[in-house]
Amino acid sequence: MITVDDLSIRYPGQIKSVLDHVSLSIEHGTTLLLGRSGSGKTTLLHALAGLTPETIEVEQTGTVTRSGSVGVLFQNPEEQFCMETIGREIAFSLENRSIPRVEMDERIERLLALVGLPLPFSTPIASLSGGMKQRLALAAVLALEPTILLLDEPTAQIDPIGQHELMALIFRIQKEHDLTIVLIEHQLDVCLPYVDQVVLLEDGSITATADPRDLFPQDYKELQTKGIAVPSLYPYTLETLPIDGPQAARLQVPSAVATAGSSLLHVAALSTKAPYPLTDATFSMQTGEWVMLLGANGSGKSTLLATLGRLLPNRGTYQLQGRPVHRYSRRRFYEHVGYVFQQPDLQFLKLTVEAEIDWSHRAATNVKRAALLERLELTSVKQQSPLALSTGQQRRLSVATMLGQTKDLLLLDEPTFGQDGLTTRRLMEQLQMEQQNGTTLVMATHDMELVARYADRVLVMEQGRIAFDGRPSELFADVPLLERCQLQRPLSYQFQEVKRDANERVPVR
Amino acid sequence: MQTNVSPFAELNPVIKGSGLFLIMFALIATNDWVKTLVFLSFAIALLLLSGWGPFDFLKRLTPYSLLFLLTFWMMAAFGKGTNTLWSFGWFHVTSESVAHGWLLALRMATFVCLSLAFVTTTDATRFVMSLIHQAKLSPRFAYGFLAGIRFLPQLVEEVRVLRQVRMIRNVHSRFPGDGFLSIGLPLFSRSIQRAERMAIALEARHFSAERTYYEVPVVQRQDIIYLVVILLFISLVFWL
Repeated sequence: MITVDDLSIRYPGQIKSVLDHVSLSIEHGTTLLLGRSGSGKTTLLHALAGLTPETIEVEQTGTVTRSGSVGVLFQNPEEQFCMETIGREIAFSLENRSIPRVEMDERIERLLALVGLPLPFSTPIASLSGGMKQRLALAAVLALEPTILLLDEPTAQIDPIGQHELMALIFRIQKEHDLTIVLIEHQLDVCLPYVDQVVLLEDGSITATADPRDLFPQDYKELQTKGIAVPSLYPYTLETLPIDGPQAARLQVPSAVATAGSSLLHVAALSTKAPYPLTDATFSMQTGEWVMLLGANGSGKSTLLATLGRLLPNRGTYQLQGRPVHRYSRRRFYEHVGYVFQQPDLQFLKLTVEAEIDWSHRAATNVKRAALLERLELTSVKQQSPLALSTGQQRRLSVATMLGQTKDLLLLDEPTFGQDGLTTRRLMEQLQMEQQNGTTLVMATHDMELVARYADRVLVMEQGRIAFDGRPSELFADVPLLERCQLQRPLSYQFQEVKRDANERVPVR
Repeated sequence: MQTNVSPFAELNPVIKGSGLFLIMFALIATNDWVKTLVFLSFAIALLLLSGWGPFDFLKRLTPYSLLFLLTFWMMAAFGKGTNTLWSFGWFHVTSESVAHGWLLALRMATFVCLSLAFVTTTDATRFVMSLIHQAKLSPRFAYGFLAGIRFLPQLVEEVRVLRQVRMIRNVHSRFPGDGFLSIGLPLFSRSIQRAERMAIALEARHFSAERTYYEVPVVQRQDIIYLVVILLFISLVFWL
């Protein structure tokens, strides 16, 4: 379907090539491009789509030949639309293909049904959830009637439930319409069962092309140490996973150490005004506690965080260290409380990375600041603008800037959203260190594996109210609640359960 | 953004806009405050007919009344003239400057009403489509413009976050404009990156100027009648 012959690509103004003499043949079926961020996956995908060297201006040598038409689905659904309603958005694709007007309505209806969005054409795009938006974007791409579908991390920006739905949908459509798929994806357990060929990229070169059923059992440890994403289970299931293998080791969760801190904050009957959904929240938190906020989209996680960060007006009692927060001046309050927003690049104030750290850690010594930069692996880029960093680096820096010497409480709004496994692990290590220094962490997240691994305590939000407050293990045992709040049990918990069951089945002699 | 539904909203956007432009031209061609007042009442009538009730009308226009008073005061207090009515410090109010201020303030109010009448009755996509078909705007610009409109709510959200970040990180501006760089720079860099990704995505959907159209606004009889009525009205005002 696609043949790549000796392809090299270099971005203007850079010395190093992103892709270095790459040759590849993509056959019918599904091909997964795998590699660390910065390995050239996305550039290769753009080249396969024919977007380089013209639409994206690069210096390119070598050839890419395609037999068939191409459609591309990108990561962020927001950045693929140019219309305000769903009908017009799909029509835009049809217009580009010069489809006669009389055929359009019928085609739009068929496409919307295909992706499971049987809504009126006049539905505003802004009213859709992230998962629905991505399905609409898929419909708009399918309107081009491609025979080759290229997917650039299509599930990175949507919540876990939407991720599974979207992947299942994509591969169902592939079967029905006989499409060739090339994709980049971090949620390996979701997509690998459908993948026929894995292309491994390292530093702009292809280092392996293999069947996933062979690649992962063989090179699991090696891939993991290189920082390349690996599946949690594939090619096994929970029941067949070898207990002494590296995958099982990854699913071992260290038992949480109970923290015995002193009381830090107390909240009673805390509510916000409509349209913000928070009603009657009551809880206390200890120093050094790691609390995770869970709940479906719109259940009030962000509202609770914003209220705790004094970013929203509220009613009720809110005390920090035994004193009502309104008796703190803003300046004093934010000396104790840090807040990490979802968008890391909006959180910088200074022109260089070093200046950011200097400003936020004014009280620390030069040696300590240098050590911090070293620990964040940012020393080599310390003279660069924070805005020029990669997203992973920006995430680490944005968390670091919120950690002065005196922070007692750190509020984080989905800090790992859309990040690959390696960035997530680094961030978590950084946060864990803060927790050990006595900082209380309150973090909204969708990632249940993080909950199993790091949380001391979980608050589950449901329609603005706190539906559950307790230990993660208690939550995972409460199946009806999990289902009601669209939460999944983490694999690691399920694995332990399977093991326990297996042990019980062994006959006692 | 369109909020109102009425026969006025049904008109072809480009024709509707040109009609309102004609009135604006007529407005700056006159120095007579009676004529200006007639145009103002016309604009208000248009706004009321376009779907706003009198209560909405008063509520929405209150912020603009401050602008109205300011325009009047600027012209009245610092204008030229010989017939002094009142003078204090820098202020020098003459009968000529009062007349001038009154005229300009009325003119400004008419402009505001006409623009509001247009904005509240026009759907952005239909307006842009009408620009392509009636005003022969290149689709490249037109679709770029539509994609740009989608940026606006995101920009508002980003400014909000940037201001909160400054508060949380205890940055307090000592003089206005201090925050310009730290708010403007990230906003600017994000917008450029987003625009680039958007352009790539639209290009990947095989965007080309050779295309069919899902929505083709046409010029109908009511649009012609509307233009004729506007022209008649203007000539009537100037003739009498």
